[in-house]
Amino acid sequence: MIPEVSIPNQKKNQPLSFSSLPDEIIENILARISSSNYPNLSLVSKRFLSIISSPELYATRSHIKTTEPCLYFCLEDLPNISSPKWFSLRMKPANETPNNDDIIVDYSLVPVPSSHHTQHHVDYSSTVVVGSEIYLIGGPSNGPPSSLVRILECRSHTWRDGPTMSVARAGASAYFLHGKIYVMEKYRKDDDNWMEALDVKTQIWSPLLSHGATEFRSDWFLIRVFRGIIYAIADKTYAYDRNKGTWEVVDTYHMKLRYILLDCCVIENVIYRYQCDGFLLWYSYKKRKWIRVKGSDMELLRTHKTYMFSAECVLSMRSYGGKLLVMWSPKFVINNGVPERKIWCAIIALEWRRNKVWGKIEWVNEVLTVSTRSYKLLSCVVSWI
Amino acid sequence: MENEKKMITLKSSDDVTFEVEEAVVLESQFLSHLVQDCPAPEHKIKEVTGKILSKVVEYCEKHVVVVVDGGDSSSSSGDDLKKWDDKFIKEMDLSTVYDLIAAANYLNIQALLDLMCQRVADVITACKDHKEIRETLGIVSDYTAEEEAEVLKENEWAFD
Repeated sequence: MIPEVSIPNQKKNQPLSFSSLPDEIIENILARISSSNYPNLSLVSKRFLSIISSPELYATRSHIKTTEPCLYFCLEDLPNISSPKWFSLRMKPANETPNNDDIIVDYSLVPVPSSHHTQHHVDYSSTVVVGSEIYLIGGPSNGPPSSLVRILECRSHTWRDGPTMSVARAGASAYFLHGKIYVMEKYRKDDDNWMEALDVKTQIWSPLLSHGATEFRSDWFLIRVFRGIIYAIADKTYAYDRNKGTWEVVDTYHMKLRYILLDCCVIENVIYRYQCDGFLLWYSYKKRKWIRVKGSDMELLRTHKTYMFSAECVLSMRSYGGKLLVMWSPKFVINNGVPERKIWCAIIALEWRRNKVWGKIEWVNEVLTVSTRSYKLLSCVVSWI
Repeated sequence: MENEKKMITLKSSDDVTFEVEEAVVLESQFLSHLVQDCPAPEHKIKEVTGKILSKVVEYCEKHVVVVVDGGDSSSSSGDDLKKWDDKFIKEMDLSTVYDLIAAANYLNIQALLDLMCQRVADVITACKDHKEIRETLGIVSDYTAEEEAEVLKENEWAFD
């Protein structure tokens, strides 16, 4: 006897259509499409809209590794933007730009609806991304301390409250590492509460041991994370041991880190920074020196009049899915008698060839005009959607 | 030292038979359970046509060979396989793609399913707007004009 195998729900000799495919298959298909196409897809049918809006889609995108980086920044610009406002920059790849006769727009600056705590904003250092969510932790360094945590879900642009911290904090430094958000508050003198961690999965805050921190905490110091380790850079450099809950001085080789980590961006464990002459540099551990990123695009960005690029006008450098995202704001220009200031953004692809790094501009544009004096870029992060 | 390879016969709904090595069948989780549980020499896969089953067998045979030869899948064999996959799906009409999706889903061949889903995703990405997507995939919109206008409004930022 021959065992028989049949596919259920499929009538003989009737060709399959797209609509006859089950939801899980359509989800598998739509998860492979760039999220910049989702507005278009949502117009196809109610079924498409429902699949695109479902949380399962993001899980599938994460699983098959098709999530895409997306820039979010928070800006205050008196009097035009009177309270801090979040924007998302949606770039369209050049070949997907619609062939309109009029101006080619290759990006959209999407305003994020305000959180119900409209005044709630935090510093750069207290903003942390976990997947598709941005956590705003505590209060700003120049404002009242707060134990509140607000979370922006970047796929739906909705806000929600996160679990509150054990104490109110202002200007805390927050880092996402090994499934936890580590929070350190530099100006808090009472040792017991200066560090705590949020387990993202369980959404529970726990206090952290912090032996040895008293040595540097009375003085000026900076917190940086590099290769999965939290460093405190004071007159000596300390590394935090998560398992023991201790801060220990690190050796002279690591001492070099203190200079390296001050003003730079880490992308796939390589450190990049701009030199004052506008060259992009990367740090070679082997040679123990800074080396220029090669490529004609790097020279173009540095010298071309349009971009008015210089190292001192760099606002932010971020890892954008393995590429470098750089935002800068050149000196103001007078437009119809009114001084104005542009904010520019570029995505630079970094490629390794024979132990050298080559940079290629994938995208560059001015994204916003701000007033010359009173604007503040409060946060700038890359989320995954 | 050469082991005799165990052969298994698969029979399509229209009685086209395919004699394949057992290793090829193991690419399908469903079939590997079936041959373990039911050690018959021939298995009829009802309602998968000879046309589709031949594509499934072709895919599984190619992928099995590369894994055995490539050992720890060197980059060149990975590239070759990618090229082969590209050729395999090129020029394939959508109705065959849907049939292969249904077959891969049922026979539980994840890599083939993913490849076919990617093909449909590429077709959708190449469309210039939602109307072309509907036309290409043969979808009839179930939106009323008002509902469609509302969805358009919610996504206004993307269409400026």
